[in-house]
Amino acid sequence: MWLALRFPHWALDSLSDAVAPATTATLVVENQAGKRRVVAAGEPAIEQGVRRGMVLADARMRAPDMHILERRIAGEQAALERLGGWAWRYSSQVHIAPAGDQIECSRVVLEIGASLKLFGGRQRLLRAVRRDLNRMGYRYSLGVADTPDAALAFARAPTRGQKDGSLAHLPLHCLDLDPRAELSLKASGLRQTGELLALPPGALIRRYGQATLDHLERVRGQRPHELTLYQLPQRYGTRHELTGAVETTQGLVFVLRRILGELAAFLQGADATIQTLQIKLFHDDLPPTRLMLRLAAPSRAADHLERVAHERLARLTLAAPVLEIALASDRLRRHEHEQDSLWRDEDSTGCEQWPAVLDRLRARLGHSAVGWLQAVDDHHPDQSSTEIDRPPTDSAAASAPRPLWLLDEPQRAPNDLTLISGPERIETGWWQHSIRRDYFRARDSRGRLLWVYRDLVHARPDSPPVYYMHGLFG
Amino acid sequence: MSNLYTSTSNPAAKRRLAEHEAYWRRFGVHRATRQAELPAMSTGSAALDRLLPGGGYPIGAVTELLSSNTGMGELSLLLHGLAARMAAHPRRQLAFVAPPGTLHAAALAQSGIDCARLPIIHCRDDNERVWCVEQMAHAHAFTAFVVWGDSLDTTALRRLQLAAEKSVCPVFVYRDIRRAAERSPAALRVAITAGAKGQRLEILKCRGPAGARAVGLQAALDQPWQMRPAPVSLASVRAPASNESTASETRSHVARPAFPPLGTR
Repeated sequence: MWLALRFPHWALDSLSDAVAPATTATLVVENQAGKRRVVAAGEPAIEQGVRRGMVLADARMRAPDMHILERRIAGEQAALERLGGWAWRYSSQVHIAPAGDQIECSRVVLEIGASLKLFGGRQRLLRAVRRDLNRMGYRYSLGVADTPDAALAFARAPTRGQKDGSLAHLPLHCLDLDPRAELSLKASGLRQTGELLALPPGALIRRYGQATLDHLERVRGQRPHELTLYQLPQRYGTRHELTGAVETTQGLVFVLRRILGELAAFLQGADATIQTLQIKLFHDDLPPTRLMLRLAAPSRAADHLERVAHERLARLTLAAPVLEIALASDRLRRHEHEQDSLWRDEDSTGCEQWPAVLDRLRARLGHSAVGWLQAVDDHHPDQSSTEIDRPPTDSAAASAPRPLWLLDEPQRAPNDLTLISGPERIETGWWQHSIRRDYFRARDSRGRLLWVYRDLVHARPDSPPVYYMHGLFG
Repeated sequence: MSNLYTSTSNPAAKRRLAEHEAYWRRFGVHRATRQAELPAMSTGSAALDRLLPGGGYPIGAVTELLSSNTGMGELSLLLHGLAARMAAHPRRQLAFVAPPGTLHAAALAQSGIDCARLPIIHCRDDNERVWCVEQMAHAHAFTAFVVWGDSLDTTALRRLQLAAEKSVCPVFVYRDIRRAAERSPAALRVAITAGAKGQRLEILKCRGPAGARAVGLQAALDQPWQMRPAPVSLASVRAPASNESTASETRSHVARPAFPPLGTR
């Protein structure tokens, strides 16, 4: 069973920089054979009688104060590919085709027969598809049939009754035949698909050529459908052209909400997660601004990505208006589904929120603001502990006591020291920074416990020992 | 009303009394003779636990640790208790917010702290410190928060208190001993000062009678700091019901709040 989705106003609906482009007073136009024709229109224009394919001058007569945009094929194609990722949720056989010379309307066709059981029947699956598309704000028409071409024919059906009826009762124009052949058929008095399908093949070939017969055979399922299969990309990379320049970060937040919503729908459909996302903001003449979102754990939640991006944007001052936004993710990873434990684990409830909180902290304070300490196997006290940006996997504990606070630069110790234990000889680094020191633990008169050393390299044997403070036992 | 509290032999009255108390307990009002149930975590030292209401640092509240110097064992004292709490909650984190110096991984490991579960957060100002703790309080994934913030004001401490209540885990704030004279919304304030034999711990404020002190923290041979197993000079094991200083108590070494508690004059 196949589901066909047609997006007649895709050129407008796929625009990224408005919350709901379908409701704006906008016309998208394209040069077709020397004439500027409307390829997509917003709802206000349709109410005033504008139709697809209308010459711009006619459309202007009917709806005078419309915002006019040039069609951008690349943006449509990118948006359709993102939608392909979404459709992956409902089927593993997805075909997408943008509107072009051969194809009258941008469309997504998917095989749903294998998914019916998972979604609990045809009605529920269609309801879920409708809900998703409405949420994303796309205008669509939908058809279900046993072959892709028949499903497309149903999707073109003008009335609801015809959509639910049989293929034979569909009007002839739903079949998307060659316009000349269709005119000729209509002149012969044929009105419905059933009448055409009843004609003998030999006569059809003679009068209307092989192409028409092939099409009819594909509709009936007697011939393979010749659609190209949509392949899930290795990583998410897409560009969103903005129709107007965005000048404030507040405006960017709105645009990003829609863009990240699409990303989340894609990830949900592809059952994948991402860990890093690069957002490139293109300006007119300045080099693009890059924002890097590194997440602590792979994620696919729209609200989480949005919140992290929001915190990151709060630190940003825009150098110039933004004209275009590009997203690039790292390799898509398979989503690890969480398993609920049989017994409720009180201690670990809430622990899964920690990576999300970490992302928020880093987005606001900077990536390097959160770190973990790692013990390094090095005798040199300065180098035996470093801060890294992810939790260490192993920990080596030293045997001798070490101070909790380490001074970055050793200082002269106060004079009133009481040595408590030691010495511990540390002698290392002859190849680089040679040290030879005797370390002691000592108490001073202020009640502090210090880690002090006596330098043996530079000490003169006849002078009294000089102590340097290197750490504090906090 | 008076018979409600006196005639407790009558079972019906008893029940009414219990209902009445339960009603008020919801607003944090407790009967004077009964101690409120204070969730607390052990400090790792039996002697110190005995001095504190609930038997340890309060959970879901701010504890202020006031020390005169860094390097007096003030962090070891806390890690003593936190190591046990971290071991008891093997998936939870411990957050250090804005430590003033460089911490040493090996020393933390020696104190029994798992560095893999110890995110260290560096902040630029007080507002960020409090914001961090508030954010982390959303995720119930922490055993405790330790904040270094000498300049935190009362509002900030109150926000920390709310975060502690929300996340149901203790928040520890390290401040300078000079802040002891200031008022603070913290539930527990412990001052650490240097003494001749060892560090002196003094409880400046707690839920219940304050003023107890212990000489306990000592530099030991085998580990940096050690709580003395049986403290000899426990000055007056907690007075029963008042904050009045008794003759046996020695003079406090810590600056007192400007206004002594009610009843001392």
